Amino acid sequence: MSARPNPLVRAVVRRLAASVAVLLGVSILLFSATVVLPGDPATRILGREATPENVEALREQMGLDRPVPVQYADWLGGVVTGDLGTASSGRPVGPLLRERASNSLVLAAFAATLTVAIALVVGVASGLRVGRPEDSALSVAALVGVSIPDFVVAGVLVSLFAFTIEWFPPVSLVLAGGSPLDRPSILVLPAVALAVPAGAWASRYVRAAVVDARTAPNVEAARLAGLSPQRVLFRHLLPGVIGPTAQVLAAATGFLVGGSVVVEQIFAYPGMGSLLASAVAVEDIDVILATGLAMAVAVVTSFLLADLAGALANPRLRTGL
Amino acid sequence: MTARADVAEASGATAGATGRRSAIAAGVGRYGLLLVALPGVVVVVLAIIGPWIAPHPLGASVAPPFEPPSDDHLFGTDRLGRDLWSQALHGGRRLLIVPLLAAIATVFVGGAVGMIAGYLRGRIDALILATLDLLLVLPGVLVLLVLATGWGAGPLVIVIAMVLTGSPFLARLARTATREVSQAPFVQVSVTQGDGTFTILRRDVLPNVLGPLLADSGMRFLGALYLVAALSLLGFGPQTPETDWGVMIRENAEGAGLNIWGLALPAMMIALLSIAVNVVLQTVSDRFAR
Repeated sequence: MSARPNPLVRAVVRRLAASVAVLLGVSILLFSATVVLPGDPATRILGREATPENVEALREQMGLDRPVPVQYADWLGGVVTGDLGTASSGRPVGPLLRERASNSLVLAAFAATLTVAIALVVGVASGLRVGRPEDSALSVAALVGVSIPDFVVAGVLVSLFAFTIEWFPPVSLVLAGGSPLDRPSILVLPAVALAVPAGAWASRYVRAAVVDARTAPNVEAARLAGLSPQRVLFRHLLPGVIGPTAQVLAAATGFLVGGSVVVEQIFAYPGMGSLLASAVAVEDIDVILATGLAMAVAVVTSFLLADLAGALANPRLRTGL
Repeated sequence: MTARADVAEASGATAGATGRRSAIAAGVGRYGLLLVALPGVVVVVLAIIGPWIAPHPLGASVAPPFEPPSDDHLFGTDRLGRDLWSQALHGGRRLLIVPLLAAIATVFVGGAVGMIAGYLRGRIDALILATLDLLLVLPGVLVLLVLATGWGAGPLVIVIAMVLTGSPFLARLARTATREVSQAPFVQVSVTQGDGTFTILRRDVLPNVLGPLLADSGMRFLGALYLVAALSLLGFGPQTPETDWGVMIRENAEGAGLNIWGLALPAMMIALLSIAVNVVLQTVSDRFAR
């Protein structure tokens, strides 16, 4: 690196460092949460009838007799080197999580694209027509959309599009070793279910940003210079909207991570969320820790990307990220 | 990582001011919005008095499974031949009471933590902020599931999970408002008089912080409602014969081809309840904003 790095690069490096610090903190929180949980993993594996000696032996073998900070350091070392522990099925967690996470990523990419599209289209359309009947109708629709939980949207979608008119399958099964992209139609209903509440929520902030941007000096100037409405919209107004709304869109994709737990379960989609839900049912601590951390990584990454998008869209932010 | 918190603060600051209110109000009129909430109010009343007016007792099998609606059974029957309408009437109270408790606890804890951070400043403020930033990246469902692993999914665990993941937003709001207020002359007078910190917070700061906190409390109720229903839906909720609308969605989804109402009725109840809470909240916080 040169002696005086670009301020944007420095800001990004600082942001990255902060994100790593947050993830470290989250890993401590998650690990200590599983430590204070009642019930001993060794007893859980051996069953309640196990003799104390056997339990003690297994505890020693699993390293549970060591102090908690040592256990944490050991686990974190494993995470960093790619060893995420063993699931109760005996399978290593790493490959299992990789497979599920990539499925979730496909669904999340679909859902996030839809979310951003809904947020931008609804937000911009109603922001440009502020105060008119179309604006009111869209605002009420957004309020209704944001009120309905994703799993209810899922229920409605399944009722309509899987059972009444049979356009899409009611469950989104993926064959072992296959990819969800083998049959993209299975992604439609879960992605829409995730995107409707998140998109409706984000659209309200996009609308507010558009309303503000309409009267911004640079937009006024462009309009007074006689530029075409399209050019004013795409070259001058929308870039000013991206900065303030990138954070909101990131938060919306953050909601997708949480929402995916329930929605994946409803559609029996083999993603990270359904992995977590089934791990909780059998108290599979290693899997719970790994998926929890992966979800935190996903949320932190989306905020990082939002910061980057915001910085790139707004010259003023390039220095003071 | 203040990203998400900025969003939380922005929701209080800009969303109300930049005319979401005027748009909605202009379109539906002053009382029109509450009219939208009316079906939801009916759902709330049904959820409360439901167990008393249900035609059949909780969990009673009265007909063959997945029968479509008939004169005897308004919405047909579920997978165990239970009257869907009765089950729905029995399964509402839990979805009102637990989220309500969770929302109250969240507002209380979030408000207190935020006020303390905003008033004391310095090292305690920094420590609290760092903790909040950690909690903000954890999805509520994740925290709830981790806690439910060892402690089960009782009401207390749900309330704790909600406080952990819902209060950071509120704490941020309260902190910002407190920082502003604590510079005001009337607070300085109390400090000079030698009043205790607790007294100052309660008497001088709280009344000025309460507005944004209450405006946000509806969102916390909805967040908690989501968690409770989601938990039931995942199969960690009340066990048979106990039921709620989340349990009903899970149990009857597979038979939706036979009787669509097994899925649609509980989904509709949750949707109407959420819309009602959100609309009422919107109207109330608009009053505050004026």
